[in-house]
Amino acid sequence: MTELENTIDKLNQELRRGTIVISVLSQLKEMQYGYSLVQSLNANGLRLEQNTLYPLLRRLESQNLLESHWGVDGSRPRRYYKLSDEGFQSLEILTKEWNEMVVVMDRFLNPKEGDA
Amino acid sequence: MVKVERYVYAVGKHLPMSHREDIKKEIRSTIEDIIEERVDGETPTEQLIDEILLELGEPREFARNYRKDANYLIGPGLYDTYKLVLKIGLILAAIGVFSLKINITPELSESYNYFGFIFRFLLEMVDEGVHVFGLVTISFFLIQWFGNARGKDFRKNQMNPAWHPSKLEAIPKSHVQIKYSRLIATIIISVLTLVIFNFFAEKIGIYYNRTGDQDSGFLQILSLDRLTDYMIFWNIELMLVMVISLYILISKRYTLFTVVAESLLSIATIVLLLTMVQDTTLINNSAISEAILSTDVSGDVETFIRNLWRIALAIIIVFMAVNLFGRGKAIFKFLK
Repeated sequence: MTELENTIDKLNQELRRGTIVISVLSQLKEMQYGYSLVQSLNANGLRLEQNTLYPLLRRLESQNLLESHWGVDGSRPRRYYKLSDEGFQSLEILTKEWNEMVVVMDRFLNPKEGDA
Repeated sequence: MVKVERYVYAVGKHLPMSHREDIKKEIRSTIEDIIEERVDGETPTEQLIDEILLELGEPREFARNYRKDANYLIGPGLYDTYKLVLKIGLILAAIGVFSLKINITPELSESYNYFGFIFRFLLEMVDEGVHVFGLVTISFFLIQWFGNARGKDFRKNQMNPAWHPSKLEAIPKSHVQIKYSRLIATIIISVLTLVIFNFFAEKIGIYYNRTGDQDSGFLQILSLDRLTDYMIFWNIELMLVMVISLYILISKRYTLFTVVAESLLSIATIVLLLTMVQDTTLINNSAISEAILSTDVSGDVETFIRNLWRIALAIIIVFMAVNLFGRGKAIFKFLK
């Protein structure tokens, strides 16, 4: 990997980091277990490694944004996650921030004629 | 499925103790989910399991992700090296203090506080330990700090391309974790004991200054003739201890054989030590009497010197007995 590719890779990771958190929070309004979450994220076009998701879930839980419990569904025990009240509040604020950001970024990156 | 268990075990080894079992359980259930989805009701092949584990990546890297969000004085990328350097540093410091103190010459006099001498020795060990700890920690902190300032990330982002599920180590049969530091300490102590008692036995004793005399004296506590008789057993015993420790270090696991062998050797050590404690001819009585006569030393110090050897041995015996108790528990676990 060249130096430039390395730099781009790093910037890309930084860019993705925040979006992954919002994406995960947005999918946990309903209770889900880790693997089903990976699948729903992938199905929506967000590729996420397993070894990134599980530690992230733990971190969000330790930040009180998620609640979790062990449940037995079918043959094996699974850990289920869901947004906590604080998680819901955070998601709401983050969604608002995100929507504003998209508008601003769009102005920067796709300037239309007539814009200053 | 053996590989899945091995993989989960390998990840668990690098996880913080507090959440280890819980995280392991989650990883296991996830892997089973993935397998189930891909085999569609059939028995999974080894090849498929390898494929899935390769996607999950090297266990150490997997576990690292659980630790990377904390604020680090020393980050995960440097932490393993830091631990290794710290261990080596502490061992070297202990050897350093030990070899320095062995040459120190306490004055053999009425007022000399021998317990104080031992206490100061221990204090110096702790003091040196703290020094080494501070120095190594600060060095690594600076490496981390300047590395971060220059945008250098010490985390290995790239997966180790050489890693493969077939390299996963077997799960030890018992719950007994291998304590590498204990094994290395055992080997170092055995080597030191062999060297000191085989080659420098005549130097073991108390070095002192006679009151009002410029010449320093030396009091040999042990009778070398008697010691030679015991050394035959000690050499065999310590060699076997080293062989067993090396075997565990290389094979990276305890088996019923190693635990029983270690226990038997511990018992042999205790028996040998007990015999030596009771053997009055092992102490160089004539030399002690002579030294006492030539100095104006009170009876208290004389008794102390005569007992010094026994006290030392008694401490070792207690230590060994505690150790043996731990072994007993390990054997019990194996049999269960």
